[in-house]
Amino acid sequence: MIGIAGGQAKCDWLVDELGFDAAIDYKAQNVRQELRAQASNRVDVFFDNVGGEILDAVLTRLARGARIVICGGVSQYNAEQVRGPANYLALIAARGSMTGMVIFDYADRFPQATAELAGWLQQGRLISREQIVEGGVGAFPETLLSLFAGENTGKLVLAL
Amino acid sequence: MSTGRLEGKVAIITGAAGGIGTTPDRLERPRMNSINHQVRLTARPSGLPKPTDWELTTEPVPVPAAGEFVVAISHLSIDPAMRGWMNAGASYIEPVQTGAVMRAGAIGRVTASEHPGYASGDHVYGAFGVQEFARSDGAGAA
Repeated sequence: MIGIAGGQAKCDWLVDELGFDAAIDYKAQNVRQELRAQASNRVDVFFDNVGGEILDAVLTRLARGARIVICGGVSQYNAEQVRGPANYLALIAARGSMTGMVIFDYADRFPQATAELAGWLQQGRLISREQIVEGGVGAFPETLLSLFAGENTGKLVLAL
Repeated sequence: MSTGRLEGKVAIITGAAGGIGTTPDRLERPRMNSINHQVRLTARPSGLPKPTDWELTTEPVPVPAAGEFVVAISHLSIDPAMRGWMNAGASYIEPVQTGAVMRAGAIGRVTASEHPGYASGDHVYGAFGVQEFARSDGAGAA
């Protein structure tokens, strides 16, 4: 399992604390080259929350039958013209698929998930990091913007 | 990158959602705070949201009607997906309307309840919005 993040500190956290096999620093490294080196058997599943250049890089390294899950695309949220994946034709050769995922489709199972996740947290099997901003509702606009500047280092929470 | 805070930009909204039918003399005051501060979306952004796309408003803390409860929000979830909710057009969830309190997942404690499933002091979560107090019928809350 390989994580992609911006900056050495986030990449170290992925490997040292969360147990990823490797991490790629997209701000300092060439993602396509690093995927070639770190995922020599290509990519079976890509869980995507960023889109843009990262998605295009992953598309060039798909294994046969690869699945791409589109959960978000933060690189495109503020773009006036959304940039599509230029390398989507790679799905043909890979017999790959790209599927959208919306968590609200599973709302009837939230209680089950809450109980299981809480248990895993208590057992240390799940590691979560929160970044809590103290600021009240008036700090909402600037706190939201920090998400688009790569500034946050965990689940972002605004305390009232 | 700083947008500045919304201090000093306060509009009084009366008779708006959450405050319908409430007047100060009818408000219960279970907490010291009787004012609800809210962040409303005033314009649909192009590109990064600007300070002028938001407005800080105040209204009286809502009072629950039958089948409702009021929650004092302690923490808001701040998510990249919020940016998409600010756009017009069909998506997986209704856009936040301009003039409405911005949607946000939140946790807090019930301060008043006319709902059989919730009691004062209960910890709850739900899409309560960017505000200090929310009135809910329990839909999507737990």
